[in-house]
Amino acid sequence: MTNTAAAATNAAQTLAQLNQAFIDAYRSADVAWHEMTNTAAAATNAAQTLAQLNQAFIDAYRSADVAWHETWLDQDFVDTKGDGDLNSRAEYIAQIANGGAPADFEGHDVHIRVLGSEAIIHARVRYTRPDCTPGTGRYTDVWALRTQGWRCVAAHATRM
Amino acid sequence: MPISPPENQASAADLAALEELNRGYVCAAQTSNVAWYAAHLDTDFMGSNPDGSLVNRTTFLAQMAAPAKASGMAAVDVRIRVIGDLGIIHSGFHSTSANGQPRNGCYTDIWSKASGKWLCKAAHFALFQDQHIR
Repeated sequence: MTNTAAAATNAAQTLAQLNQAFIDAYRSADVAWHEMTNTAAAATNAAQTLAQLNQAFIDAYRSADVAWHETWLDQDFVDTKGDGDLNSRAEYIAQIANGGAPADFEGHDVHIRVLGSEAIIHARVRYTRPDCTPGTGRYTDVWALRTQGWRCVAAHATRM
Repeated sequence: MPISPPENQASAADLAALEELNRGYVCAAQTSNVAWYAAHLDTDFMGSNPDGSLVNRTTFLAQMAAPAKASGMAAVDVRIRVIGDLGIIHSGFHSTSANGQPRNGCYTDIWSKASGKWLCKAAHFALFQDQHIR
């Protein structure tokens, strides 16, 4: 739950800054701020939130945290397996419950694109294989902004 | 605005359009039809290659301009979903390599609809020697 707490703290800080900026813009009759800030701030906030969710996804995979996946995977979530078959949400969570994440698994080179109410995350991963050699991979995740917040609707990960 | 599940009431017209675009995408790969990609990839398109590289639209177009080394390219078990303004295509992929061996893979393509037109935002393509990592 640390990531959720961090997300809440960051959101609070962002809102505090926006609140002060709102007051400043009101005092200075800054029309441009009022017209533009909402869209820009929303995109920035979404990117920050998604960055935290992306890291939380990796952490939850490493720790086989079923509860995290139950919360953040959309009801329509679909995972593309390495053999090309598709996992439903239930199948994917069952797989997570069995554990088996590679050692030292971590994401890097994360590239987040917010497209309004949807977002695409591209990232690389690295890990250690059972024979202690380094392994790499890449994934593409798709998130959608539902009424309860961002939820992951698709994931496709492959190892090189 | 938040999007309500489930899989969002995709219209028959959207599903038909995405099905046709998916066919066009594979056909363009087989025929090195760069003009097709130039017309259907959005300016911020990103492609994830089987080797793990992530390329932008310009690099992807250059990749697709090269003559295809495989023949008989075909999408298999195609599943199309529409979520908000995004169309997500999950599909298997089959082709035959230059030495006659089957070459199978899968892909996830992500399309976005703006002003009534679908443009491809991202493509994640993998070959089956790649294994599941998450």
